[in-house]
Amino acid sequence: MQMSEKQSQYLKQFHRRKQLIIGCRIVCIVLFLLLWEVSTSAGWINDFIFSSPSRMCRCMVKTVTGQNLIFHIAVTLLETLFSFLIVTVLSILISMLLWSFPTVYAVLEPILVMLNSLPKSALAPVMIVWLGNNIKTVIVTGILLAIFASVISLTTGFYKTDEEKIRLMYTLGASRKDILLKLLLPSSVPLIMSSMKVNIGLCLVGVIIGEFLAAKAGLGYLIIYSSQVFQMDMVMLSIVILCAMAILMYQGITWISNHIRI
Amino acid sequence: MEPVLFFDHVSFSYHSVQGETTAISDLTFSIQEGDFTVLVGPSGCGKSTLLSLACGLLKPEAGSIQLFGHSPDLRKKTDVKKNPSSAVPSTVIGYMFQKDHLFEWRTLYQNAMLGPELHKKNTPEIQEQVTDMIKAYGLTDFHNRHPSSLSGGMRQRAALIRTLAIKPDLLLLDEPFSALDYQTRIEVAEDITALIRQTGKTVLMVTHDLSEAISVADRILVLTRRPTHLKADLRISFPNGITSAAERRSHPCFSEYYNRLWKEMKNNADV
Repeated sequence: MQMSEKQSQYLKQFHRRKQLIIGCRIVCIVLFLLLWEVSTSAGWINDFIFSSPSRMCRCMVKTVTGQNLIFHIAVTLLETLFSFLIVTVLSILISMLLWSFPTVYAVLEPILVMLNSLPKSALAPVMIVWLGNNIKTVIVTGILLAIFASVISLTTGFYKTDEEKIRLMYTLGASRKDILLKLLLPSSVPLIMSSMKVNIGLCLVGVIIGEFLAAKAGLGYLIIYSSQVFQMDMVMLSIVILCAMAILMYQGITWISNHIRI
Repeated sequence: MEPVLFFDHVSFSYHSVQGETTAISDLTFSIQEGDFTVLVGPSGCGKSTLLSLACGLLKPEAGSIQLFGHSPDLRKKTDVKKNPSSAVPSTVIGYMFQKDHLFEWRTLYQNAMLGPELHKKNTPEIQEQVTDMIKAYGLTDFHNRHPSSLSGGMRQRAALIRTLAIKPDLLLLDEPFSALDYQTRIEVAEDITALIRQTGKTVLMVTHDLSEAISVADRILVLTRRPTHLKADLRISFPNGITSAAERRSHPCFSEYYNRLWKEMKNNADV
């Protein structure tokens, strides 16, 4: 179909704006790194304490070969994805149960709210005692951080389903199970997706907290260990890698949710 | 002849912590087979409650309701399955709402098949019938499209197909056109009621729109404000048996009926 003048003008403007935004983002990052580098080399800040982009690069080259940086990244990534998977499955199942039994939900609601507001990092030391100084503690801390908020938002979403749609299902002969599987779940896909986007970040936070306290591998371990031996290059490098991981995982979930047709 | 639906001194109230609201008190009426009956009444007079009672979603607090001689129960099907010897021929009810409530994640065809799917009657025979119905209602091009690509009128047609796919013995229409804008509403009301008349099914529709009621009904029941009871029972018959809503609207008898109903409704408001 022939595009009208105005339409192609609009499209051109649209793409120009998009490129502008991406360009500005890159400029922001480059400026920040440049400022960091300059202020250390000019001696405005101490590069032993604050590190610098060039020192981090050198550190990265060294650790990728020497100290197995890739291994630590993989450990943190797998722990995060694993706890994320459990949070997603578990929170959907629990929410379905809480919808099926309204009285149980009424009883448990304040407890869920309390657990959700509880600073989960306070639980991590308890987990070490209960589960041991190992990967289980790390994963459970990751799960604990995300699951309560996720359950609360999904259950509230299920209860907000249009009453008339439920009546429609009943008049068409549906059982409560049919309503769950054929109405609530599919209509909650956008909600589940947005809760997943939040969860992946929370799981990463939980995993890092867990690694701070109970791990022999992973970026959280690397940060704690390096700060204790005053290798600030390593600490800063790990933090930068964590930033990259967080954004990449978020983008991954966004990509998946855009490719699910509901 | 046994009435399709019989309300016998039915009362119903809603309960909340704030108090009790009587929605319907001592209501008696019956619906005959093949009739297109319309209930009109002021808004908030318990019209929707009445339909929920008729299909068994709610149970009356006093009095009784007979649907083809049995008390209405949506879950009867399963009982029949468990105990086939006591099998009562279960009555299937088709319910149409104000909104079409088509599921956005299903295609038009999948939406239409929702009923048969839930009734565990997803047979090739039904599939063919539904496909034929989609064709007859001019929606073949949209067979595999999602509801968002349908216009308001097409959506209502799709909702009608979904309702008819379970082969209901009685159709309950709860202000099925009032979510549409005025012009679409007149067109869709004409269209849908003509399609329903073709099926020859017994219909009970509720609305607050007098002219809509006159343009489609065989019989109009006027309800009063809460607590609801029956105010008037009017048989609508146009000369030459006109049933088309558009023809009825332009017929001289239309305003005659309108004035009579208006008077009934007005007395109603004074009480």
